[in-house]
This record gives sequence, C-alpha cells and structure tokens, in this order.
Amino acid sequence: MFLGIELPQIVLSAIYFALTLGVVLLMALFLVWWERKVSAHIQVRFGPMMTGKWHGWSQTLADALKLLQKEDIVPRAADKGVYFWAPVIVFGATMMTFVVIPWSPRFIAADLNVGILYIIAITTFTIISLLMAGWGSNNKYSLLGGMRSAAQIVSYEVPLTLSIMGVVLLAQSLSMQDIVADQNKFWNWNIIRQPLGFLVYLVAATAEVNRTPFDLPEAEQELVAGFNVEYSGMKFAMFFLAEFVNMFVVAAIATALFLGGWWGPFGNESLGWLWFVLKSMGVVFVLMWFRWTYPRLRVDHLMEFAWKWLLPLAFLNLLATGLIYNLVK
Amino acid sequence: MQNEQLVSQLVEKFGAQAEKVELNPAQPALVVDKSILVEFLKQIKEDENFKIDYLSCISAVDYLENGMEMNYHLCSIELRYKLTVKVKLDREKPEVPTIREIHPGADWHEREAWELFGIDIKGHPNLKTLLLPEDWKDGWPMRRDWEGNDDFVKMPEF
Amino acid sequence: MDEKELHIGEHQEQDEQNPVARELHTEEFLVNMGPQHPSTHGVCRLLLTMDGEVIVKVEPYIGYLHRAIEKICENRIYNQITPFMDRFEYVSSMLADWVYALCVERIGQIEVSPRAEYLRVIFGELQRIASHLIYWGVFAMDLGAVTPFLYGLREREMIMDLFEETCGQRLTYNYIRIGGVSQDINPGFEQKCKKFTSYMCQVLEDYETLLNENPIFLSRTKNIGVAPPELSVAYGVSGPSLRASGVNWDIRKDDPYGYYEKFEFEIPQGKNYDTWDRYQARVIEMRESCKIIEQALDGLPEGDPTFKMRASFKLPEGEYYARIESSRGEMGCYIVSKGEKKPYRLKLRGSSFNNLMIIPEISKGLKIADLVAIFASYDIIMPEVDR
Repeated sequence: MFLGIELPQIVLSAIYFALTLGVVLLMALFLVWWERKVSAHIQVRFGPMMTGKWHGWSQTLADALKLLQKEDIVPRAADKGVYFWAPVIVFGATMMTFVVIPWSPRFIAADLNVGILYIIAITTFTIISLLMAGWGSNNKYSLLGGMRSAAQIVSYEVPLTLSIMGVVLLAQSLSMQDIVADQNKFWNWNIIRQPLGFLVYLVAATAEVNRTPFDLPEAEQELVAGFNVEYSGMKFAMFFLAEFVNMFVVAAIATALFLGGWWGPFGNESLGWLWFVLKSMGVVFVLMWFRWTYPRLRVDHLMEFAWKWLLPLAFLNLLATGLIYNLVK
Repeated sequence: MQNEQLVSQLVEKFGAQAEKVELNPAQPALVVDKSILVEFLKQIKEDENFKIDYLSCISAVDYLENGMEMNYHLCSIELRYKLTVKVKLDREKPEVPTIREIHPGADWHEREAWELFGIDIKGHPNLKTLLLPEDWKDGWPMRRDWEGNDDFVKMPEF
Repeated sequence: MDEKELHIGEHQEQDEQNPVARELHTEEFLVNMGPQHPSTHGVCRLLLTMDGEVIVKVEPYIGYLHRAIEKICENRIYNQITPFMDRFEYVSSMLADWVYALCVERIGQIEVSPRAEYLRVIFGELQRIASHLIYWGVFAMDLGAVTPFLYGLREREMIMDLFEETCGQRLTYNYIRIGGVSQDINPGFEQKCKKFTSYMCQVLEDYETLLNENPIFLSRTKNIGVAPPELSVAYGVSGPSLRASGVNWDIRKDDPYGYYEKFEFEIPQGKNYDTWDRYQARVIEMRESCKIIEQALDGLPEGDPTFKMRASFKLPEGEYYARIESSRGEMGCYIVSKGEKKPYRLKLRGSSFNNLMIIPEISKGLKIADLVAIFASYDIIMPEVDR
C-alpha cells in the first residue's frame, strides 16, 4: 500500500528506497550544518550565522554548490581508475545500507530476513573504497591514511558484530523489523537488556565511521587530511557527505537495535518515523559531542583497545546473554 | 665578584693561552687560541670548579681588517657562572674546530656561522645551508663587505 | 644523501638476519612533513624516514621564514630596531622587545626608572601567559582535541585587550623601548589587570579538569619523548622544556634582570622528563605568572616610565650578550657596538632554535603521532628559529 494504491512489492520497495535516498541526502546537508553549530556552541562560538539569515541555515547548501562548481583536479601520478571509483563506492555503499533501515512499521525498502548480516557486509565496502582512495591518490599521507583506516575498520568490525549478536540472540531473528518489534516496551529496549552490548557497539561504531577519538585515517594534525588529501571538488564532497551519512547510518542502526527503533517511549506505534529520526539524531549528537571533546588516540593504542578491551567485553556480553536467555527460557 | 674569580682562576689555570678581555663587568670574556679551543671547553665543562656545561649561543663577528671572531656564550647551570669565550680568526682563511663533541647544541649555530660568514668549521659532518636557500651562490651575506646580489637594496643613510 | 642511504642500508641488513623480515621485505620511505603542514607551527619542514608508522629518522629543514633580521638591523639606527624585534618572535613580542632593550641598556649603562621596570615585569608576564595559552590550545589541538584551542584564544583575547588599551597594538607592540616603555598605563588598568589574574586562576582549574584526567590525553603524553636532563643541557634546550627535564634553571632567578629578584614565585620541575611534564610545566607557570603580576601591581611605584632621548643616538663602544627568560626559554641578544648610531653586529638567539635541535634525537622509534605531540610540546615557533 502506497498512498492508497495497491502496488507490487518490488515497485513499493523502489519507491521507499528513492524516498529514503532523498530524505537522507537532505539529512546529510542538515547534519553538516548541525555539526558546525554543535561544535561552535561547544567552543563558545556561534558558527555560521550569515547565509540564509536564520542561523546560517543555508550554509551547507552554499558550500555544496561551491564544491559542485569546483574544478576537478586529478593528480598526474594518480591511478586514475582507482582514484575515480573510490568516492563512488564509498557513497554507493553508504546509500545501500538504507535498504534495511526500518523507519516505521511499514516504511522499509526491503525487510530482508538477513538484514543485519546485509548491513555488516555492505559497510565493509567502505574499507575498500578508503584503501582505494589512499592507494589511488599516490600520496604518502593518503596511503598512510588508507592503511590506517583499513586496519582500524577490520579490527573494530569484530567487536561491532559481536555486540550486535547479543541483540540477535534475544530477538531470535536477523531481520531488522523483527528486532525492532521485539522491543515493544520501554524496559524491553535492548539498551536496558544489553547495556554492555550498547556501549561496545557505540565505541566500535564511532571507530567505524572514523570520528574522533578514532579519526586516525584523516588525522588532520598528523596526515594533513589522510586518505582524501588529494581529493577536491565534487569527489571530496562525496567523501564528506558519505562521512555524515555514515554517521547517521550507525546512529540509525543503534536506534533500531538498541533504542527501540520506531517504538515510542510509551509503546505506541503511531508516528514511528518521527521517533526513529529523533532517537537517531540523539545518537548523532552524542557522536558529535565525542568529536569536539576528546583528543585522538594513537594508532597502536587504538589496536590495543580493540583487541584487548572491546573484543573480550563483546565476548563476555554474548556469553552472558546466551546463558541468561537459556536460563529464563 | 663571582664572575671575576672565575676569570682569574681560569687565567691562572691556562696561563698564556687564555687571555682576559675587559668588556663589561657583568660579562667576563676570555680570548682563547683556536688550537686549544676544544680542549679548553672540555676542561671547563668537566672541572668541578667551573662546570660550564651550557652553550647559549655562538655568534660570529666580522671585524674586517681586524679579522673575524667567534663568540661562544657559555654558562654553568649548577654554579651560575657566565663566560664568553672568544676565538680570533684569520679573515683570509677563517677556520675553527667544531665543538659538537662537547656541546651537541652547537651544531646549527656552527652551520649558521659557516653559511653566513664563511667560517670553515673543521670536523663538522653536515656543513650545508641552514637558513639560506639550498642553491645560494652569492657569497657570505653577513660579512661586513658583502656587496649584495641583485635583490639587495641598501638602506639610505639616516 | 649518502648518509641517508647508508642508514637505510644498515636497517635492511638487520632485516636480512631476521627470517620473518626477509620473507616480508619492507622498505622505508621518506615523508616530507611540511613546509605546509598543519602541525609544524609555521613553515618548518621535517624530512621523515618512516618504516610504516614508525619514525626511523627526523631531519629538520629550516629557513623558510628567514627574513635576515640580523642583517637588516646592522643598517638601522637603534630605535628603528625595536619593531623588528616584534617580528623576530611575534607570539611573545613583548619579551623580544625586552631582551633588545636590555642589551642596549647594559652596553650604554642606561638607568631605567623603577616604574618602567615594574611595568616591564607586568607586561612581560602577561605576555608569557598569552603565549602559554596559545601553547595550551595548540598542544591539545595537535593531539586531536580542537575545542581547547578556542578556549585558550578566548582568554588570550583579554590580555590582547589589556595590551591594546596600553600601547594600541595587539600583536607587535613596540612597547618596551630602550630606557623604559613607550607610555604609561591608563587609569583603571590595575583593576582590570587584577580582575584578569583572578579570573585566570579560576579558568586554569577548568583547563586542568578538561584535559588532565582524560585517559586518552594521558596515554598520548605520558612517557612520550623523554628528554633526560643531561641531553637537554647538552642540546641547549631552555625554558619550561628544560625545567620539565628536571633542571632547576630559570634566568629570572639565576641571572636576574629587571626587578625579578623582588618577586616570589616557584619554578616547576619535571620528574619524568616527558611530554606531559613539558605541558604541565607551562600550565603551572601560568599560575606563577599570575602571582608575579599581582605582586608587581601591588608594589607599582609612581614616576615616569618613559625615557626621553634623541631619535638617533650613538651607543658607547662595547658588547654584551643579554638574555631573558622568554615564554619558550632563553632568548638572547648579542650586540657589538663600535660607538656608532647603528649596531656593528646584532645576533639573536631564539630559544626554539635549540629546542628544535633536540627533537630528532628524542623522537626516533616513535610513531608519527608522537612526533606531532613532541613538536607541539616544545612550543616551537618558527620565526624565532629562522629570524
């Protein structure tokens, strides 16, 4: 059912996905503006105030237009093909995840029965594209950044997946809608049932999207801009937008898996999409807060943290969940 | 005062090779022959009575017909002595041994003296331009008789 | 070039003895960090030989900001030189003015009025706080935390306002002149200044809660870039960085100039000689500077702090190496006067010049991120190095 017209499932999915894409791109523009505002207020500044009169609301629009008009510079020594496809892949992979984001009980492009597996698989594409960007630019800083991001994402993928497994165990399903439907009461939200899992997920997800304190691949003070140092114009904009969309993706997954998805706080189903967006924005705000408060980890500390702390914690969480689940049942 | 005692002790110790110069009561100075410079600095660094272990600065001065001079501004961290050691150089062929072995911090100061004054630092392993461009070919710019290259505009007399 | 190749060769030889390394043959590569790089604080170029993320060798190349100030000064009369001193070290130009004025005064035996000496102490210490505030913010920023930088600049702005009100300038003051200062303070300055120092002491507590207990910050600074006292002294490191290496040496106390003998203040000393100590030394120093300012404001004598003289005067024959404790360490000025209107030779010694020299020594075998932290912790300011 879409606007009262009976449509075949495939068309419905296409419409939902197109809608999602539109909303998400607008959302990315909003997020860039919001991040600037949040950072500004944390740093006792105002941030953009001029463009578009009201608190500089059209600042990112203007920035995006400027980036669109910029000359597309390709370094002479770059590996042209790899250099060209890297931003396309990162952008595409990020967008693909939205297929299984459950905005409301019905508003989901495809409720795959392996939804979570799909998300984990698709987000891994990001590593490939960052490596491609690092290698293709033929710049030593880019290469270091690309290598760092590959090492980092591969390491953090493991605790991330394990922390999600606890949730899957409780819902006994890999489908996103099933997992959300399982959290029908406030005390059934997975953040209450899986606090440790939520923490591990949040930390690992911050690392996944390369944000401070895990922003080593683009560490400005060390690697200038890391993997995207040679990119300009629209290609840079694609990396930039992908970063913000990615941030929203991890927030949306956190919402779906741990914060009750589209359920309202009183177990109400109405206005599900609004609750979903609000909760996601809350998580996004936390990520921004991290970024403007913490210093950056060093590369070896980062690995140590992933393998010596996060991974055992994630295992512990999974073990405890399994034990308790079986006992209660 | 403390500093005067230091100088008289030093003169006593090194005899004819270290000569006292009257400059400023607050700043004792000695002229040392360049042949014993390294040995001299080493001894005053290791001697319990002096412990002059800190090199502040090295300044080269070009006195035209009176030759050149290297000034080593030293002090003692523990005993708070201050001492300037001067080495007179021949302007035609200015040479001075490196003191990097005793004061590693002299490295860049010596390179600077070489590139700006043309003072040959004997034994310095890394004599290449420091402040000037790598392809600098217009002579020793800090010498008083430097004529300047095409870019150089001299200040009119005030 | 030869030396570099030799070095790489050595490393590969070691690799060949190790079966794993022989199997996975890796190569070292060169990275040009700078001259345009966000964390080289100006235009310094560090040529890094890297083995993956690990630094094998650091070679600084300087001179990108060389303005030949020493040569220019040989062609200027004494009063024209003070503005150049502002440019010699523009992050703490008040202190650069001071060392030059001090040198000329010592050669010419010029008496400075007590009020001028007190004002010099007040403005010198305000400048030290302003410079350390930049250091504090930039240091945190180089570790990836951008927010402290803005906080540091916010407080610095208040000092800038105090300076602007007194001498009309915000960066290059030309305030401390030969024989005195350029003008007396405005009425009401003392209250404003006192208000600032008490505010500053409060803010410093905020600063400490923001960074001092952050585990990431601690892990990035503790035991990183250890510079033992012998090494620091040998390389001529000075200022807070030397004190962080556990050496009790402060020119304000050990070779007093101005009226510093009259004030009471502590000198912080490091215990672990690492990046953390260098950071902490400066934070403590800000507090001590506040103390000095308060004492100086209380004892500020009456009188005329300015010095009347002809624009162009002949300085008696003589030479002197003057040094003061600038915010980065020993700032020196050596003038040879031949009894003319212009100095015969003027040599400037920037503290960062020596402080930069030690960085290759202590950053071997560390990560590139540590190098950034060490570079920031020494508070290198390039105009002072290149002159």
